[in-house]
Amino acid sequence: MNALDDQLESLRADLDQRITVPEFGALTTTVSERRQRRLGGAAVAAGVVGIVLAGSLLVRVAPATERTTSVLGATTSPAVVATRPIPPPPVTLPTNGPTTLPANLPTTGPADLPTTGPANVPASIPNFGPDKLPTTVPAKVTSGMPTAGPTTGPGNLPTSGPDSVPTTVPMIVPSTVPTIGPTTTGPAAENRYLGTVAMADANHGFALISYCRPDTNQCRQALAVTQDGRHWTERALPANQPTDGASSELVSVGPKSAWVDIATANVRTGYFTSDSGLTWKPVPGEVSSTAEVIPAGGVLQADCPPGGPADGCARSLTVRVPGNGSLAKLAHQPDIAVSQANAAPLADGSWWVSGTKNGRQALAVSRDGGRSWISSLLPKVAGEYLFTSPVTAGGGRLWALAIGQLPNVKNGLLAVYRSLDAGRTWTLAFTEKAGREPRTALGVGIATGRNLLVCDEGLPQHGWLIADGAASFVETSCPATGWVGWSRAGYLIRQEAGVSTSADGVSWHSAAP
Amino acid sequence: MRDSRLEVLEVTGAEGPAVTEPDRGEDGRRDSPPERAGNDAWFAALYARAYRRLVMIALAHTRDLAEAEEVVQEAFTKAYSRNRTVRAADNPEAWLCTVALNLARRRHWRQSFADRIAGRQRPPAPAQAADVGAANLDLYRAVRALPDGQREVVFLHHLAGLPLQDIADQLGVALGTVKSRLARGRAALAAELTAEPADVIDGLRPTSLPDNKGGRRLP
Repeated sequence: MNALDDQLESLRADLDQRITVPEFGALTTTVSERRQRRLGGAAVAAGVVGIVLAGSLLVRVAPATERTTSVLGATTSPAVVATRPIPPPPVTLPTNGPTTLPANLPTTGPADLPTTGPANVPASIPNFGPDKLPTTVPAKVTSGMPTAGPTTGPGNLPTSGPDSVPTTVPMIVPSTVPTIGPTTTGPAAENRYLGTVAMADANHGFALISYCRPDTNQCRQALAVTQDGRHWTERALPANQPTDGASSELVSVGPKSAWVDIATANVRTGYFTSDSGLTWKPVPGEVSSTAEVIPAGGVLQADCPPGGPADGCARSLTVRVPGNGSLAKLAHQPDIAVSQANAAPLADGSWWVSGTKNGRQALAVSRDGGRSWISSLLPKVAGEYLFTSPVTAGGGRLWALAIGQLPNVKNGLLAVYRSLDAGRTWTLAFTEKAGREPRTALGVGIATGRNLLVCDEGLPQHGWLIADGAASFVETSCPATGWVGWSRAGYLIRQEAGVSTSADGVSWHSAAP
Repeated sequence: MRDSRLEVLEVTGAEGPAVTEPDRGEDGRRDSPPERAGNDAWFAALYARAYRRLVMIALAHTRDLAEAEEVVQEAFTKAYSRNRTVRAADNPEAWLCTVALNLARRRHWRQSFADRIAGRQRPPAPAQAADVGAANLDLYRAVRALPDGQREVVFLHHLAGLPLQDIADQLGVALGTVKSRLARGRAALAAELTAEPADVIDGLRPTSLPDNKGGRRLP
């Protein structure tokens, strides 16, 4: 029976840690508020249901027993609900206080649930039964994706859908840096691939395009630029010599600013543009300065110092500086060994990085632009751990995914972490087990309201949703197929020939660079 | 409101030991400001001391932690508005405990009554994943699946940490009854947990299970 006692104690500690104790002041305020209301509410007999019409004042008297919902949420618990202008009671809900909405989510398994559920499940799932679950609506896409991606178009001009045909801008703008490679490489058909997509905000961004000859695997690269999030214009890159494969990097540090790293034969050169790719300037590769804070528009990176070993290096946080595209080391580093960094801050401005601390998986956050960092340990997860995904947030919850090595799958999902207290403590919302879905996760988890959507590998647009309060994931659809990232445009899914972004994980906007 | 149809069915039930008009500062008198301040300090201490334990107790009858917290906050609101009764009570915590238990039970009853008249089938109190981590989920579910009497005792003793005698006093049953309920509950839990060892002990997964269902193709 000792084992049972231990487990009960573990359960007790687990529950105890999740109890939020609201401020006592909130309680007294609510009570005083009620007293005030009762005194001002004239003659109201509790327990009477009725409608009293007095002059133009319409007063509905609720039964006394109606006052049994959320008490600290004073808005739902007055003795008198009146339509006359009573000053609204102060909302005294604590940040992570009790919630009344999803008290009884159906957790009866996928059999009752729509198998092709929507990606836009509302934050508040209806109270009763699976019969009221949202119907099978596909992900809401505000702008239609061009249907046939221009992957195998004849010739080498982008022949994508009507959305991406530029109106007045020439297709390829000559840059001021002399371009070496010819713009036409011969008659052979080239395949067009979409590479890295870097958004500065929902409407401004850059994308790498490569044109590769299938026979020689020689690729030349171009840059696609958008100023409205819908129409993309192709521009030349400063050095577009054909290379073996495509291995350039791209970071956007402002609506019109980007840094690219172009690999030619065996040299990598960084270039910076501040005019949407019209002109380029070379940028030194090494860290050139120290940044006290992450500047507005700056992109946080966890980099190995140049010249060090490619892996196993002691990474440090660096910032891609908006003004000139150079790399600056962040002056204040977190007290964890960093491996991944959220490239963009969360909606509340917080910057998250993940790594290890004393051998344990850990996260660190800065809420003052990188001046100071607070770290927190993550619960232990069994298995071959690779890294922790960037942190995402929604509905008062923070999420991170533990990615590791699982048999027979790529991007194995070891566990889902959740925090209900703004990242101070983290708990396991899901752990991997043989036969338990999902097995994989592509990028970050998408927080939709209080739920989390994880897109997995394998089938197109396939994902899993863990509803708030549910014990397991249910099968659903993802808004797009591809790697899910967190960017300054919100969630960003890079597909084979298009990109979908969403600020809230619910409504998505798609375009094809 | 959970179900507006039930409004007419609501009868003012026994909510706590000292049933006065809800919210009426008893004998209708209002505290003077200094009285109020001292009272608040006393209540704040009680609140800090008892809140977590009461949530654990209420959890025995609510669907999830959030609802248990609501119930306890409501109990405190009641207590606060009847402060003289509570302060005069021999054991204010026990008073609060009774109120919280009654509130929680009544919610439970209302819910199942609503289900019954609506002809709704609901899985019995599913353990919410939001309440516990995956490592403890199976045990949590098992505890929640216990019959009412046993579940109550397990919650009060193991999760809220009340001594058996206090539980007997609180529930108004004999000490022997508490003991036997606890023993039966524990036996049921132990049986439940040993039946599926892989579900319970995190990190002790069988290593050679075929992985064909969850495995995805490698691109």
